[in-house]
Amino acid sequence: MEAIVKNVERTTELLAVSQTETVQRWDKQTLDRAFQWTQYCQHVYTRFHANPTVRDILEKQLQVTNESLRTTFHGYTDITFSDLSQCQHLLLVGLLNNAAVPSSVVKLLFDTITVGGKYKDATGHCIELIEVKSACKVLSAIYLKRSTSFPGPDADVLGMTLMEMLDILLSPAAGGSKVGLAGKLLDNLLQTCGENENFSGVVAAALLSRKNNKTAAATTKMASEGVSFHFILDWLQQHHSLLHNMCSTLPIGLLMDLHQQSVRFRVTYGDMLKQWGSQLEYDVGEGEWVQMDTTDGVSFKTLSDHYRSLLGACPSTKEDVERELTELKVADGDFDVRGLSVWGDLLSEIGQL
Amino acid sequence: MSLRMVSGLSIGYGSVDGWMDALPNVLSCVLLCVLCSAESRSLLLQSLWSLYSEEPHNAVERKANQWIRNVLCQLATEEEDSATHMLVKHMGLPPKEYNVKVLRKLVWLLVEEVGESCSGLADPNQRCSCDSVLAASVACVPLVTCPETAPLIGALLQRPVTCDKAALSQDFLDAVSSAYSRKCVSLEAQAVVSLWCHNLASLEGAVMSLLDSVLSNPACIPHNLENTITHSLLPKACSQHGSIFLIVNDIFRSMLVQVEGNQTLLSLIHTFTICFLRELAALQPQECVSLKAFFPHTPQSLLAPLLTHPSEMAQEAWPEHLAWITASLQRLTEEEEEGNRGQCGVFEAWFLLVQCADWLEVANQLLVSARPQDCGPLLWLLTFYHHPTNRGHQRTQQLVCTGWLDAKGYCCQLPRYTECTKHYGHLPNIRLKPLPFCPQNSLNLLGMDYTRC
Repeated sequence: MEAIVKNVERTTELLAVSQTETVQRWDKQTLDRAFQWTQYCQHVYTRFHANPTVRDILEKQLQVTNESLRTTFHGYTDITFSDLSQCQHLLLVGLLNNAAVPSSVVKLLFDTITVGGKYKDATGHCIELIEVKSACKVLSAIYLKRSTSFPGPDADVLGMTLMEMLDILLSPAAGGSKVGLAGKLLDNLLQTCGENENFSGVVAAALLSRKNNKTAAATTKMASEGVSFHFILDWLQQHHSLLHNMCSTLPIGLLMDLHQQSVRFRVTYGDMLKQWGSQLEYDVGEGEWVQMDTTDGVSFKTLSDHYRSLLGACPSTKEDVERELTELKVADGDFDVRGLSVWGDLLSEIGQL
Repeated sequence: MSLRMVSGLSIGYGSVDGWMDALPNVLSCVLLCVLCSAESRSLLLQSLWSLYSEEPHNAVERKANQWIRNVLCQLATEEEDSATHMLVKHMGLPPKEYNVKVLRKLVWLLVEEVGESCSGLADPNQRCSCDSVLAASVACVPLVTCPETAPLIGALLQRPVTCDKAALSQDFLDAVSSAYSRKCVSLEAQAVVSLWCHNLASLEGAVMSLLDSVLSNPACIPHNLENTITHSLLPKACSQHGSIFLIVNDIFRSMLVQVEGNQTLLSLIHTFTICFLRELAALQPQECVSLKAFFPHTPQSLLAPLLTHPSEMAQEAWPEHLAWITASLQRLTEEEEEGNRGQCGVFEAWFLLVQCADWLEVANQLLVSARPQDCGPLLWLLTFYHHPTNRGHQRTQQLVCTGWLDAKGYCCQLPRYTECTKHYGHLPNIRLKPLPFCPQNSLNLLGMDYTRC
């Protein structure tokens, strides 16, 4: 443990040094070693990010190191524990932005690697980055179904990563104290990107990742499979606006997938729809159902689209939906006149194909 | 391209300052095309580095250096979508790993998409997805050397051609072929076979490359030769597609004509045929394969006897079998000399003999223990192998001058036999010198009179 703490401290110092003039003396060996140390730190992060005890120790050490480095290096940016996962990237950015780095070192980073050379040393590191990024751009341009298929590959990767992280945090072996960490993780993520589409897509991808990853699920413990899924749904219920955002902005087809996959989601989704329905008011002048509060609802048309898709999902769902809407209509007085019950109007709307 | 672009820009903008300021806009337009291909990437970097001054003498050079460093930093570390970048960071995913995973996921999605064939839709108005295949192949041209895209390249190559629109771009095929010959792309065996089916030039390239590597290394031992041939994947391709086998043999034939008497080439052809037959047997173990399709030009009477491997029959039957083969070949050569048949018959027969050279080994073996009266056909066969055209009338010459036949064509006594084996003992060492023309060179003498010995 001490060794790890020491190594992390050294690497933090290394990162600070890499942004100063000392790098003038760097050569291939120094560069390779620096990259290996950052790789090590990334590994430390992966190993211990779910372990609060170790994480605390390392965070405390980092605070101390940051203090001393702040006094030594002008313009120093603090390194936190979560920064350790980006260690290599930070080193790279620091080096490329540092004019004192010898051109021979920079040339190494942009050297073309021969086939078979892997991520072991720093040579060609930047070329690999460029190759991968440009390949991604080209291929996403030709991915036909990009617009119709959701989530896209980027949301998909993030969703799967999120699910994996939650699995680790919530697995029975980890113990109950991790639930707090898991909640904190999701809160952090939400805070970071606000309630924009990105995060909704990622959450949806995370929920769907079980369906797509059947082989992996078969080999891992069944216990955690449902746990992370339910955890996310629980958390979503507490963050109502995100849930609303998800249900209103994501393609309906995606919601149908989730609907088919999980009973729990069916309930959540169904409640959401009912809530939207109850927020609609009939405008006699226009002869339309309009939203009372435009920020937190959907239009009548959107709502009927959702219900229509539900009808098409599967026969049992069709029956349930019709029954539910009928019950609600009856509760409103069971009139067949337009404008008196949103549920009655919905029923007649979706009844017409 | 990039060098010209950069120097052209500097002329166009009048000063280094001018175009450096304007460059970001220009760059973003061309950058994607330039960056995704390995070749143009390295050209761009070369251009940038050539503009870099190791020892800047003035402010302009210093500024240029700084700008180049900025560009490089931007190329490597810029993240377009900052929202996604923040998410990536907060999930503790290193950006490089994230990008690689996204690329892999994209490749996987595209492989699935490519795999959907249109299977001849009944409704002509329904749009089949095959035109996306052409677009995908065009887009993949600069990406052939990227290791992560290899599954997509393989999927595109192996996609069954179900309709007109499902064609692959020629540029794509050329790029893959070139990358494969330079060993810059790792494709699975079936993808390579598909590549050869799509693109004749790449098949020819592969055959020539095999010939080159074998002929330039004549000391190659048989085991290595077999390995080299198997690794080339050509026997596998030949067993799956008869047309490939025919093309490969055509190339071999023209090599034989050009490089007469090259023993390495003869061994290569023989070993190749063995590998091919093995692959064929593995492919269709139950079926009775009609080999006629693979050897269309060979005289049919010789096909079965020569293609039967010596190990498939009892040793006692070998002499008779060989005698039969020799007799057939002799008949063929006689007919050719009398002008009844075209040259092709003899050449094809000889080519098949080269391909099935195991029988020569058998002939060698039998020669050691044969009775004098039985040696004639065996010797004839061996001579025919080495001198199919008999231009210098070697066949009779050798037999006369080594003493098997005296000047009148009568068979001589046994002691000369040892001298004969010196000549014919090991196939690789045999290089018979053409001898002066002998008046009595009747083949009939050879065929009929050995029994007189």
